Amino acid sequence: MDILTDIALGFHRAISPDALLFCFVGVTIGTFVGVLPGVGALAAVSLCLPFTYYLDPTVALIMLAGIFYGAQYGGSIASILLNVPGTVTAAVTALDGNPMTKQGRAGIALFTAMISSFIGGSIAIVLMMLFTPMLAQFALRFSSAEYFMIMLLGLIAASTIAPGSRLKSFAMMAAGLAIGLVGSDLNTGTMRFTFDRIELTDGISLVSIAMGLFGVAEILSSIGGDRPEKIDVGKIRLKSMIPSRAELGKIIKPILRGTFTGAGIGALPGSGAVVATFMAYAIEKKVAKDPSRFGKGAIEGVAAPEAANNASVQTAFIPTLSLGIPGDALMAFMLGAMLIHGIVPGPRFIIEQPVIFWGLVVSFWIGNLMLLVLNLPLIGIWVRMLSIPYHILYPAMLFFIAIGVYSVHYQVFDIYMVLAFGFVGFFMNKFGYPAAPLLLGFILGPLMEEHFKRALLMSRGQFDIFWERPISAVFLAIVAMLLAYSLFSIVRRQKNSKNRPEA
Amino acid sequence: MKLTAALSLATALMLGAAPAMAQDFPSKPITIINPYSAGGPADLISRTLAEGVSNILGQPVVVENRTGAATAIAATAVAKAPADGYTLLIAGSPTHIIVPALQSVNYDGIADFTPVATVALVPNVLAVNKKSGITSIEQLVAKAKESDDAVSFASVGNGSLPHLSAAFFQIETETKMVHIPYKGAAPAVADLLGGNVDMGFLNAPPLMPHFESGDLIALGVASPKRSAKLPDVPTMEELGFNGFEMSTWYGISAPAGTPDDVVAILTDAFGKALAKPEIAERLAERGVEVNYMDNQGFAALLARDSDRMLGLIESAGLVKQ
Repeated sequence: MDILTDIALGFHRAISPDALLFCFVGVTIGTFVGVLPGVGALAAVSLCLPFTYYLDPTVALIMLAGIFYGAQYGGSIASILLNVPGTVTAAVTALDGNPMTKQGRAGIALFTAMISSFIGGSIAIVLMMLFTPMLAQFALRFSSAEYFMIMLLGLIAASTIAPGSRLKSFAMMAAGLAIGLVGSDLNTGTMRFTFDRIELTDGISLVSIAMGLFGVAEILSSIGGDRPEKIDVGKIRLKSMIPSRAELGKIIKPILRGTFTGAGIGALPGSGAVVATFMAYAIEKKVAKDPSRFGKGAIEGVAAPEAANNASVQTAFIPTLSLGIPGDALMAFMLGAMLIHGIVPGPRFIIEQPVIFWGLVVSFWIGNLMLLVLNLPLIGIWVRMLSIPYHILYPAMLFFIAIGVYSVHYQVFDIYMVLAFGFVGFFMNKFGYPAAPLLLGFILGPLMEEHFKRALLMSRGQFDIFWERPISAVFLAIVAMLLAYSLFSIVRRQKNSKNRPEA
Repeated sequence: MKLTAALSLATALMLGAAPAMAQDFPSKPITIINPYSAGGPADLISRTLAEGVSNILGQPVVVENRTGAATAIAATAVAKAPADGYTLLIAGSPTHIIVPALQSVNYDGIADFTPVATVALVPNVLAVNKKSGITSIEQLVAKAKESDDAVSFASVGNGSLPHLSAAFFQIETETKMVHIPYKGAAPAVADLLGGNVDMGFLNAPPLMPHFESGDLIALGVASPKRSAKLPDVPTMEELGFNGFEMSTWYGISAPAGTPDDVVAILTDAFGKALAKPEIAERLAERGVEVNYMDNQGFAALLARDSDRMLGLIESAGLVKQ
């Protein structure tokens, strides 16, 4: 019953007026920066940090965290409506969310995104309350061998993520892996494909690629006249935004699957929300009875990744709070912010500072509830954004994309990169080459290389490490089964086609 | 009034004329360029000092995070900035010595800068996992002597201070160890905790909670003095490693050619800011120690560090890319 006292303690802190007010401020800022393409939570959180010096530490953290998960809600909006993702994870939501808009189901897509985000976030918070110390210890058993195997599994599972030609998908994934090689090699410091540009030594910016291939490319395509049908916003009523009972029934399982995928991957300090979101989408497509619907407005393709990215941003706090080990740049920033406020996350943090820990966790849930209440009535207004004439909307979007990519490293070079990738994406669209596998390859390639090399350094060059470590071995077995199954189905198909001419 | 102005103009002309007169400095906001991302120790140092120095000089001091290319982007920006004291760099051995030695950059780490002051120090600590059974330097050395790959060490990248510290350690103990580089301190600490890597000379603050919980053991501090937060841990010097001064220091540098009187004003302002107890306290909360040396002290440190680091880079077998 200890946990109930703790939760009560947390509630007491989180519903005090100052905590509620700054939670609201945080999630509102978060939603807003999430909607703006390319302007990420990191930029917003860095801008707000100095302001929080004057707040109580718990309240300061509640607000900064609110910006972080609030951005995940906002990120899906422009993604669904305009195919211009607000955050990198929302690029996955665009795959089916935008086709839904083109079919006139924008309201339903947004509603699904919101409700999935809420359920995903809420379940992840419960998992966090129950299992934080345990999960943290478990996460420590993941090292490079395990990460490599998870990512290999992700790459194989997601190889069919895009609709259409499988060959083109593979080609794009390989291109992504290759582009991911740009930059200095971690182990030797060798510069690869940097052409003596100092801006390329850290590789190409992820935000530039994602916003270029998805956002700028979409805007360029619309210039060519291939723009979506204008939606008669007069017809949109609340009723048309709420999914039917049948649709609700269809999304419950995807939401749950997405939540667990997201929560699991998010709790590991070495993978992050983008991998979780892609994995959730790939799993949905694998388990679907008719995978060909994906990419053409399948509602599950919105529900699962949205649940996953929100679940993963919540559980990402687990290693940060209980081990002091941040999983990505944003979490590193949150950790820095906590330290500035004199809070030292680590193994003893939960026991020594229960009010801060439980107050923060409970505030996450309150924040998620606020986001739901804030966003549902706004869906109608967001949908009306589609009625803004494109010659006004798209230049504004380009402007925000440019600011967004610039705000990551303060490099003008990144703006050229986003434009260049916009043109690349435009031609890829025209000739039917999907962008999602390229993005996935770009994200996973460098990580896989890093973990593969490190695993072999740990084992002093012995490949046994991949099957001697139990968790890695389990993933390896799944990978082997998946490959064996695809090989088996190819052989069977060929046999059939060989038999046919004889018959 | 006119007379004073005329006189000072004449003096300025006679002295070879600095374009901006020191009496006016600073007459506009000062920018501190920080090569590291928001949230880290360098960010805390730069923002805390920006506030303190701004109060002393009566002009706003802004911090700009220009990350990338292992600090080379920020260092290049400052090296090419006008030498008027309005653009400053959060400096360290990476910006001035290590990066210019390892990467082709468009600046000279020593000649293109004017040292202003050193400001802070983050101690690096030799840490091992409790589960390794190693509790002393002797045991660690004995294990490393078993074979060339018996012990592995974590670093935060090729040529990083943790890498060079371990190179130093290997020379002194005549051992060979396996280098495992990580992208930053967080994954290195995770693997150290998980027992996947044996040791590391890493920044103390992220290790502190794990020293307190007993999961990690601190064997030695790589600073000339013991750390206030780890009073029981001997320095490497005390353990018999002469000149093992491998902690992460931070300083403030201006572009080369900044007028002496402007540098003097800045050196003085940083010194006064660091003398304030509330500033030292705010830094100490995060394990950052005040380490003030004026411009001459800083120049001497650079010369000393440069010799040592270049020697270590060579002995670690690192070559310029």
